[in-house]
Amino acid sequence: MPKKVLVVDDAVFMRNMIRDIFKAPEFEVVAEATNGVEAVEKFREFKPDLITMDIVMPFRSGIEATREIRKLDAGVVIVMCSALGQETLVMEAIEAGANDFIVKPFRQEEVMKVVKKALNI
Amino acid sequence: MGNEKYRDLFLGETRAHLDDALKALAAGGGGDALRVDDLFRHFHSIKGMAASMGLGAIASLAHAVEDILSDARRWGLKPEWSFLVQETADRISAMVDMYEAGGAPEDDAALEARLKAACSARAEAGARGATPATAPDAAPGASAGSTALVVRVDIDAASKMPATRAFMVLKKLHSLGIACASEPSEAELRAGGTRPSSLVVRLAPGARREDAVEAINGVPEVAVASVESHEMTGPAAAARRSKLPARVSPEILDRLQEQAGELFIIHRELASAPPAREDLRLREAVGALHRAVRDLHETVTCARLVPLDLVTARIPLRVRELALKLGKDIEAEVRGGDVGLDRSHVEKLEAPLQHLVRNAVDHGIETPHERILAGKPPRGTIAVTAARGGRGVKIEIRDDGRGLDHERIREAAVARGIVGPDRALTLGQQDLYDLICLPGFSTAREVSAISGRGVGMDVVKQAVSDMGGEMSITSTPGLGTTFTLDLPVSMVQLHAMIVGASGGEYAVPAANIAEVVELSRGEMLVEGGRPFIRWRGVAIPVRSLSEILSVQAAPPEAVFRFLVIEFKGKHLGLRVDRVDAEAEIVMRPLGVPLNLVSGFAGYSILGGGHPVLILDPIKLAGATAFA
Repeated sequence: MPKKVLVVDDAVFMRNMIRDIFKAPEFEVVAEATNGVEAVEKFREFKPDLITMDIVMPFRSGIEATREIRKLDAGVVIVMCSALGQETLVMEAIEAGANDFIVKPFRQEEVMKVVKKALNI
Repeated sequence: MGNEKYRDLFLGETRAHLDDALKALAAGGGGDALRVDDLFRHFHSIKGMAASMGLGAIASLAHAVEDILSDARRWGLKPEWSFLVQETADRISAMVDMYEAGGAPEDDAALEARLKAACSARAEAGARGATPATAPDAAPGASAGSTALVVRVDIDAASKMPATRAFMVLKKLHSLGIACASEPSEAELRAGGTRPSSLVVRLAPGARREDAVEAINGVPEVAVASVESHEMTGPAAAARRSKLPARVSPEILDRLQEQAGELFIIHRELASAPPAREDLRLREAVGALHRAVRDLHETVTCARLVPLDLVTARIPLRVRELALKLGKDIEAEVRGGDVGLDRSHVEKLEAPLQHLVRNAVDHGIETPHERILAGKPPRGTIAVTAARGGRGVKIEIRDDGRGLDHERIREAAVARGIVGPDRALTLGQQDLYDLICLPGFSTAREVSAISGRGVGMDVVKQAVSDMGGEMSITSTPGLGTTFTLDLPVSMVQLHAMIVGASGGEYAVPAANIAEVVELSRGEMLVEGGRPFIRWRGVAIPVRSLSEILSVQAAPPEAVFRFLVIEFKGKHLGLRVDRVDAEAEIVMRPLGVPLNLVSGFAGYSILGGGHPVLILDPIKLAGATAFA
């Protein structure tokens, strides 16, 4: 069974790009969210195995969403989508319960390596 | 104790404490309490050990330093005290050497008296109204902590967020409740802006090694480099001590290296024996042996690596000391002291580095007055930076002083009859820098008290080339000079070409060879009576190995074989009779008197047990033969 992926990002460009990266038999993107509030809702609805989480988003940041989701589910794998210069935010996200991070610009093989390690596949 | 069976332990521990003390001294000016505490602890330990070994001379010196340091904890460590402590550390070091050599160190009453005088002078000054810099507390030496595991974690250099990786390691260990203190600390990591290449963590007492290693290995882009157990006195000490080399005696390391070499030779013999070529099972076994021996070699090479700061740590202090004497204001900084080099290299580097730094202080950096007139900040800088790269390790000694004076080098060269006045004018910058590396060449108008005596640039250059390295010089008038030493990490094993010349066999290090070319007789050119060949579109001079070695050349064949030897971007075709094989060879030093013959780097034993000389083709042909 493919792993269910929830893509969280406020930019449609990034969401599409991440979708493309996960066009592989092991994965299925089951939902997208555009902010932290929606992320928590979609998480409850779809119960994904993996969440790619942008950090800076309107309404509620990826860090807060991560903290909230981690309270609901200890097992879901959360990978933060960050950019250079966001290192302190990434540390905060790790503390909030994120498993790992990827750094923009994304390269498919790098992203795959990180998520596969985090998912243990 | 007073017992010979503790001798090695005493020697090793005392030297480690002296090294640490010198590092603490070099760590900077001022009198920060932690550093003084550290120093106190080192001398306290030395005193205790020396007294137990019946070495009263060492114990009394260490005791006198303790007195100074306990004052320093109250009044701060003054520069003149640092120098005195450093001098005493050096004196103790010499006494330790003497003891090792079988001598009995005698009391150094003069030095002791100076230490005592420094103490009472300070006490009087203090009594006249100075306020204590730090409150005195219990002797740090007395509060030795328990044993703890110290884990060193290397962070992948390619990591985009190394600080986060270090942070993740700490979080993981914290969640298991086993991390205690780290360097860099969590707070430093959180503050952002750092790119650590490693993390040193002291684990909580009772933490299990396996738990820590498993947890750390779960974090991407990091790897456990070492786990060591240490006696602890504080987190700062934890970080420093874990970087110390394991205290294995140098003799054991040398023996281990020799034995690994023997094994390598036995393997080669086995591999070249006919049955090993025919029997498949034997061949596989020999293959496995080859890999095992190679791994062993790598391990031995690693074990022999010691951090460069064993010789660079004292540079800042020495520079301050010299600058003070010369009325100059110079800040010295050392970076990359943790870079590892073979221990024999590190020992050999001490004198050349000292010379280069001394030169920079004495001739490179101007007086504050001259600097202000030249529109520069009054304080000069000398930076010693080591980094991995080049042949293995690059060490740069850079000053922001006046730069090399091309005119004076020209004048000196003419005055010494090395070149004629007309030729001198046509010499390029690099030619001039080559000149200053000639034996006996000095442009210092008068011999100063600090440099201009003892080792010259020729000795520095020689030492570097003996290590299989190369030195280059760049300099800009008014802005400063940089000496770059490009050194191999280790010379233990090298990749070489085995060549034949008139029946003899020789090894040429592959690092010197740009290409092996075969040409027909018709492709040999002669110009002005000198032979040339065309190589990559340019004419390069050729020399015959048989001719250089003055041995009878083999009768010419239809094909001429050349090793194209590269030296500083210049080339030479070295003609050989045969090119037999490429091989990994173990280099051994030549004994007296062969080591005095220039052009031979060492020897090696090939499979089948026959020895070959390892050539240094550059020295053999002479630098002037290249074009």
